[in-house]
Amino acid sequence: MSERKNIDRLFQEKFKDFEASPADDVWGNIEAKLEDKKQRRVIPLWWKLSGVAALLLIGLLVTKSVTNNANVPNTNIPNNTIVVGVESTNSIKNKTPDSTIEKGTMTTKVDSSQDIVTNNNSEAEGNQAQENKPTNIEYDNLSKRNSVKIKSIKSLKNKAIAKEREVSKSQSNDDQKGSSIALQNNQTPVSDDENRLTPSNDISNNGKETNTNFVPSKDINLESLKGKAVDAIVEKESEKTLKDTTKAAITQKNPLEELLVAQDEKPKQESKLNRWQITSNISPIFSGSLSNGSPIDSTLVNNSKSYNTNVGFGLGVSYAVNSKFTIRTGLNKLNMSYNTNDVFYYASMQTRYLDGLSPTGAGYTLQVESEIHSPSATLLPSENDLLAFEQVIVRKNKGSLYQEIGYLEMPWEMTYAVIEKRFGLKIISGFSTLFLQDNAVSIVSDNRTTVLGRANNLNKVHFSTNIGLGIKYGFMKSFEFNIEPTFKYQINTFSGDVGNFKPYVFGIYSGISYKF
Amino acid sequence: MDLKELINDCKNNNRKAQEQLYRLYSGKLFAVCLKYSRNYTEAQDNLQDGFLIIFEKIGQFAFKGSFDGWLKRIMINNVLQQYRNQTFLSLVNEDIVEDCEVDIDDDAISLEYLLKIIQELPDRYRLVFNLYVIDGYSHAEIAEMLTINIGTSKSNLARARMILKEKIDQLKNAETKKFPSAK
Repeated sequence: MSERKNIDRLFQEKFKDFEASPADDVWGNIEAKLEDKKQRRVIPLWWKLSGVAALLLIGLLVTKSVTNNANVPNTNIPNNTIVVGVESTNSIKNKTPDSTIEKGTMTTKVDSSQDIVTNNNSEAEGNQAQENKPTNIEYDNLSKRNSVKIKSIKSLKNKAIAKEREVSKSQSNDDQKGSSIALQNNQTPVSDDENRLTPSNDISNNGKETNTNFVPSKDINLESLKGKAVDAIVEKESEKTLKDTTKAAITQKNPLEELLVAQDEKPKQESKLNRWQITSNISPIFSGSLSNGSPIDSTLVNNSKSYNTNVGFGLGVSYAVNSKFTIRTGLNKLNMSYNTNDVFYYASMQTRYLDGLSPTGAGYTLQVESEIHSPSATLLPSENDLLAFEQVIVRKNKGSLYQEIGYLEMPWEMTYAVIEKRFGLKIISGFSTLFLQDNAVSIVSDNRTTVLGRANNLNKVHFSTNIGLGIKYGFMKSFEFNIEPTFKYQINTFSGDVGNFKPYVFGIYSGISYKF
Repeated sequence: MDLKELINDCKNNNRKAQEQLYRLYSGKLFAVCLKYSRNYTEAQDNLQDGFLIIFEKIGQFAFKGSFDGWLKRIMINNVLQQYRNQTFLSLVNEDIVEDCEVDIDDDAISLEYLLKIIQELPDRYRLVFNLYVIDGYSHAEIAEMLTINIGTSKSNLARARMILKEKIDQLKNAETKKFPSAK
């Protein structure tokens, strides 16, 4: 008997009390993940802290070594340099133990990953076995083993490459899955963190105690587990191994699914983390000085300076260590220029050259003086006594002194992604080595520009410490648009005393990058 | 053990309680996953992820409204999350189709077959059909959940119905061929 019925009603009725029991090992997987989560969150904090510590250390070393160098020629204050030296070594001493310990543990975990896998296996195995109640052993054997595999692999992953996993996850097809899990992480109460360490300790303890009892079974599992683990390490995606094991379990039940599984796996392998990225950038460069001063001449210290906005551009390449951390370098061209206002100049027979200037051409005959200092300048005997009349007859032109400095910059920076979605936010920190390219000082007045010469106190190579904020927006598959306002404090730009001139550069680096 | 107690234990991350909760609800929620996913494997992944979210967020459950409903919503949201922002979602035909009543002959069509043809629907059709027909969401709600237009939701539903009907008819025809005497 057939009855015509609305298709909606048919489905509604059929599915009303629809229940289906999932495979037995799903709970095992969930449990493993829950365990895992307890241990996982400790590591990112370590990573963050160690990252910050490393940056500080690098910054400190660079700053100290550079300032030490700068102070060496300054023989006036030898005591000072000694103190500085002691400070720096002290601080290095304080820092090093931490960082080496961290590094040590990290590297051993990564390098001897295979060994650790086996260790963890045996540990987890031992632990599991101990927990097993005699009645359960036979029944639960299969599912337990599954969960053991997962646990061991996961715990290894966790410690060594917890980050990578997030990367590959977020990069993989299961984009949303990744982010939803990440979301959960953020929302778990803090109190969990305290519990987190204890289970892992227990596991290792139990493992050690019971290790010897389970040698035969351990050996049997080792081969298969190794295979799995190596796979997992190659993939850097324990999430996937988890699924693989689930899939494997299902495949045994239903060989027809095999094809589906294979299809599912392909795109996942393709969508691995793109580690390399090339970036082009262009930026307005705003330069300035943190304090008053003049690198050109001590008499110009109090003159107002107006800093010009220049354009910088460059190319960069970056390598993603994991989803959060990226190291990058590149080559940028940047120019800084500024005007020292309120000076006047006149042609003079006997010129007092500016301190920081090696004159060329017209520079030999042009006398530049600060308007602000001119009263005292007239008191200088050398010029005015000999050629007093010159002061009267010579025409003094008002103008400004223009200094232009061009650099080729090689940044070494590290970025930490705070938000890593289509829209991203990151913190940038690092240092740059700058190679002097252009160097010119000229005098500018209303109607002309005359080159005076080159600054003689610019170091050929100097450094800057950089800190910035990066905003990115991804478009298409592997392109990103970046805007990175970055502040670069220049260190050791000038040799010798430059009247407390502390230049900095602020650039809003914007550009497009390509991932591959 | 009373449900409230169980939930509170889960909030405290008690593993035993979590397992018990899983045993209690995995059947119902796996059914949800099966309906919304493309296949058995994906459903199982979704179930697993969904439960992790549930255990993560159970602290936020304030005993307002039904716990069953809350669990189901999390499961559905979790599945939708997988499909959100995936471009192939929009590859389905978006032409507006007139909404029509689709009637079919109902014999004992097996639940397995219905499930299979639901899973075989294009992703968006499947989601819309499940949300509207089986879980009783309105088109407005669906539009918001899937970030599509209400019109698109309606059109997707109509297409889903047509595809399902076709498949059911095919099954009928096949059966009639096999057992001509049955008709």
